[in-house]
Amino acid sequence: MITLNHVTKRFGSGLVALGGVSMSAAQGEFVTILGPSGCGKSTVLKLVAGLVMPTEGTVVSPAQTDQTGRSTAYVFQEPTLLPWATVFDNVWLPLRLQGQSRPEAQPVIARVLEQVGLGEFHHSYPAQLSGGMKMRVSIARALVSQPKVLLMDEPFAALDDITRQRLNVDLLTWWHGQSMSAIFVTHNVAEAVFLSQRVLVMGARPGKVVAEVQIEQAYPRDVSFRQTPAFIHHCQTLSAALNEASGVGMRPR
Amino acid sequence: MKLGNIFLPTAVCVALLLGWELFVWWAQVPAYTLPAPSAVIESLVANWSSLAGSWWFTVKITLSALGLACLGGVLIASVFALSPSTERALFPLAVVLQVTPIVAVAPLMLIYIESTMAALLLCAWIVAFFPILSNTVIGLRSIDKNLLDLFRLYRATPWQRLALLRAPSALPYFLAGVKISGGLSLIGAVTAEMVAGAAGRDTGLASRILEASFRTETPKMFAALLLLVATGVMVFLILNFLSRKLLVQQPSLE
Repeated sequence: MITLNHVTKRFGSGLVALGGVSMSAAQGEFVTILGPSGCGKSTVLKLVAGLVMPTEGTVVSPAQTDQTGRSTAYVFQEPTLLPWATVFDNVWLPLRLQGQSRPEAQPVIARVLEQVGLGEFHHSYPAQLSGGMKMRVSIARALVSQPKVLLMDEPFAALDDITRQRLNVDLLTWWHGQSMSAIFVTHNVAEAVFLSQRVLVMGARPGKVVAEVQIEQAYPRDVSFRQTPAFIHHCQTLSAALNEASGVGMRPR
Repeated sequence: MKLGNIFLPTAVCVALLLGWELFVWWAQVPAYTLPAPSAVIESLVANWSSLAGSWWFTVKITLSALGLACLGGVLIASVFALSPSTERALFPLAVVLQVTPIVAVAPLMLIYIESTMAALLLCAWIVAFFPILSNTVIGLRSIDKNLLDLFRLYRATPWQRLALLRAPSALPYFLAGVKISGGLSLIGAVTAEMVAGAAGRDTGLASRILEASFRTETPKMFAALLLLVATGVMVFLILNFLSRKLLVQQPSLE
């Protein structure tokens, strides 16, 4: 469904962000890209979203051929909400841009907001919400158009650990409910193992995939998964790969 | 808190006026040197018919200049935001207009433009439009890059991008510019009129001040000045009120 074939991305400044990346994600698969800062993880997401074009190689993704803007949703590291719009209006945005009126969109938005636990916050403004709640709005906005592909660029990096873990569990529930492919970018090893079916480790300068680990654990997963030997083993394997990719020993974050 | 906000400045004003009145009375200062506040009010009432007409003329110039500055500022800012090469070509011109003292330009305007009213309006506009232009350009430029990406991803049309993203993002910057321009358009109108020095019925408060100064009618000068100050304060308060009303939708930006 999503394929990157020997993709190189060189920016105008001469910076080579990606140097021959090949990867794929099947329909309904949850893939995480794990890597140190500056390895081009976000560039991969932007290529899949069609927001940047490859310098060399080919990218195949639903966003490339989609004229309606419904196929792909993007969740940024920051909630990236319209500060002047209410929670309802923020979630309405993708549908509104596709021509749906407020009454038409109302039932879907109400359902999605209920799903993300913000059923009582339709009329709140982003400034009135906590960081975790803003991120829930951002995810609700991504889910509301029922995309085929969900791209997430370190969405929980700025949140405290408790909120992050709770959102990890919730995210799996929301993703599992809709048969969409998810590509999740993070540099948190435990988060990568908990969420994904497959983890790709990227190395930097230029960015490329240096390791791939399958996480066999079936869904639904809950917090007890974090205590299992398999989880700890995957974390150790990925930490070692990440350290090798970073080219240093234990790098403090 | 609110009571303090109103009470404190009012108390200071009343104390200053009272001190002024008492000083004039105590030092026996003649009215042509420094009229007491009571004499100013007396003159305002006595000359109301001529002052009111002139006041309305100045208000018309001020508000028209502000309206045109909003329109011109936003239109030019939109063109600049959409086309950086146009901005590079024209922005220096806007800066030249802004930094040239209007007192120096006004006589030329009065030569080239036949209608005095139009010349006054143009002078006031030149002074007023720059803050709106530069603020709106900054507002249109300071849009979150991720939001722009999001709108691209959702295949938003240029019109949707303008209406749902660029305009609301630029609104607080535009309103801050309008608040500055409100006062400037009054200053521009009065300065141009001072230079024009026009006499007759269809002229503004600046003409009344000049007229009164030739006749050493100092209380009338103060009365006209009082009307100008009141107009400036009213313009500021109205724009402040409108700005709050419009930004109430944006609690984070209020």
